[in-house]
Amino acid sequence: MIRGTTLGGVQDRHGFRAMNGTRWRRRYRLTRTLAMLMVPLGLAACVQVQPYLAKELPSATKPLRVLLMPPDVAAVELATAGVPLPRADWTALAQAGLVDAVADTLRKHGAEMIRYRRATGIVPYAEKHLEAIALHETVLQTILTYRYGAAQQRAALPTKQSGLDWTLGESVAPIRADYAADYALFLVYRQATSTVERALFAAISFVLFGFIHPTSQSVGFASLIDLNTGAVIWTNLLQGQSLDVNRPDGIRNRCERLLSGLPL
Amino acid sequence: MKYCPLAMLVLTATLGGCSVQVGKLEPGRNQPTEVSERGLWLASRKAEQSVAISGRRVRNPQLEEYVAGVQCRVSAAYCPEIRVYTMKVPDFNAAMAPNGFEQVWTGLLLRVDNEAQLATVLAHETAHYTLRHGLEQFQTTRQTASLLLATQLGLLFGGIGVISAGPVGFSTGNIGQLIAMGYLAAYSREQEAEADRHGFELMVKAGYAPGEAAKVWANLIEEQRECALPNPPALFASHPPSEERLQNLRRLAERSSRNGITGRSDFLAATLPKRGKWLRMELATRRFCRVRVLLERLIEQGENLGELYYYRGELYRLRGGTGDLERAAETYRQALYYPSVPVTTHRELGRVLWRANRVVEARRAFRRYLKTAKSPDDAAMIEAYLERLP
Repeated sequence: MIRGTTLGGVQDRHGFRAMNGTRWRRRYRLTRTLAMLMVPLGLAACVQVQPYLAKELPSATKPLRVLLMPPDVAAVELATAGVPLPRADWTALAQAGLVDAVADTLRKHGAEMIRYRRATGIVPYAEKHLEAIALHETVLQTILTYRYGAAQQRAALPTKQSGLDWTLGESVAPIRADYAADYALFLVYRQATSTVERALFAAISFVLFGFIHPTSQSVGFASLIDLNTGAVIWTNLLQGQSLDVNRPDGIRNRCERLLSGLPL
Repeated sequence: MKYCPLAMLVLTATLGGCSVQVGKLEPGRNQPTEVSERGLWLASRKAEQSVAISGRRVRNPQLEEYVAGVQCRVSAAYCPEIRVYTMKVPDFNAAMAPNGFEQVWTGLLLRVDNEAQLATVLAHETAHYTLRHGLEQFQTTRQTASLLLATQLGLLFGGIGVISAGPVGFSTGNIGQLIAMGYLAAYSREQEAEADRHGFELMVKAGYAPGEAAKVWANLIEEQRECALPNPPALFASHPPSEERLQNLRRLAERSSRNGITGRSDFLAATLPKRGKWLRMELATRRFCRVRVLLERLIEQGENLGELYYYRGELYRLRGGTGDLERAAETYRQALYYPSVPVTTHRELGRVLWRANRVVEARRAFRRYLKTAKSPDDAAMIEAYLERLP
């Protein structure tokens, strides 16, 4: 939508008609402007994933039961100066979109998706699952730092060089007992988009001074936990800029990318 | 065209001159409907979730119930909307999120003298909630930050000079975390003054002694002045407890015709059992000047003197400056006169005496420890000390 507005507006005002000298110069300027505008917009379409797999799963004889933990989702809108406004509506949209997309993906893999029964209080988890949840969060941070971090950090743990080698241990036992599931899937998703003013400002400041102001970004993290052993089987990090984050197909696309390579 | 500069000036004045005004919250409203307020509530809820399961949360039904009770008393009709969490953090702070989730730190419970003073702080926070200061501040920040960029851009277009806007902060991080860290607690001077006034009304209406309100700030100012604190406590990071605020509260109290309770005995009943643990946390920060001022005030009040002298001894032992070992030994001995003395006092006394090469006395202190503590966990270690002592 932002893309359409910016480019459409420029094109409308500078339609290519007669080709006298002034027009040529104007056309050259326009081409340059458009080319420069395309750079941030080009960046905008780029989404990367970095999956890691600890080990291939043994082939299952019956459909695997995968428990989807409540996804941790936040969507914000950035004002001109970058002050983020958390958006409850977009967060709900992203959350629902993620769950749908996960259900479809798991179905394709021939697995059965089980939904986590949210607790009614402030904390959505049952008290006895909290230890595993909190431990997962810490392990996630560790993986992000030492697996996905800068080269220096990836080399910082000599005993963790062989691959994905983390586990939540016995803490997952209460979850396994309550849901009789084989695996648990955790999702963390953050997205930011810009107001129209910020997008315009980004375009202007890029054309004039070459500053790149990111206008839209999504970051996702997925992990698959073996509920029998607690081992982290697979992780994926999605990072990228794209302008369609608030459209249902955009969310679906992000989620499919995030779950690409799921070893089920 | 000639009106253009004038129009710009008017526009700038309108945008820059006034902060956003939002109305007071009506009691019993469940969910906000407006976009930015809904967003803030969502982020606050996330922050609340992490606080609710935090290891720092005080899990003591008696204390939690007590603090929630005082909160209810001052917030009256808003009581069901406010959820208060006591957190084990050694600093003076209380914070209110826009959705009514409130934190009270143990450092605050140590630094207020009675229930009326605690109520003053809780009422101040309640005022931030009912007057929707979080939302107001958030919207103002959003507008002014945008205006700042717009102004810079305007200057650039005008060719006055290149001001580098730089890469503007871009965060997809957890907004809830920012709230938890007090990102939104940086209220404006006007908001603080308003919360002081409104909070005062609430605490007086709840039946607390009006004169106690100003004492909270007086105690804090004393601590800050005495220790020449480089950073004011977190709650006041933007607007420290000034003489002005203190005087305003004093004036309000003088004008008030009502009497009220201080609630000291209830406060002590709820907090005294936990006080030693909190003092230990204060000492762990190694901000010895602050803890010394705090201990002096508590000793003056005279509750559980044995425990207080013990922690004062601990302060000297941990500080380890010139003459501190002797001071520590002397203070531990002072502690031993009182029934509330912790049993570990004998052990610590033994250790400082040993370090001061007073071996005979050290031996005696360790023996007393073994005798009074009745087979403590570290008995084997103390036996080893006794063997090694020359």
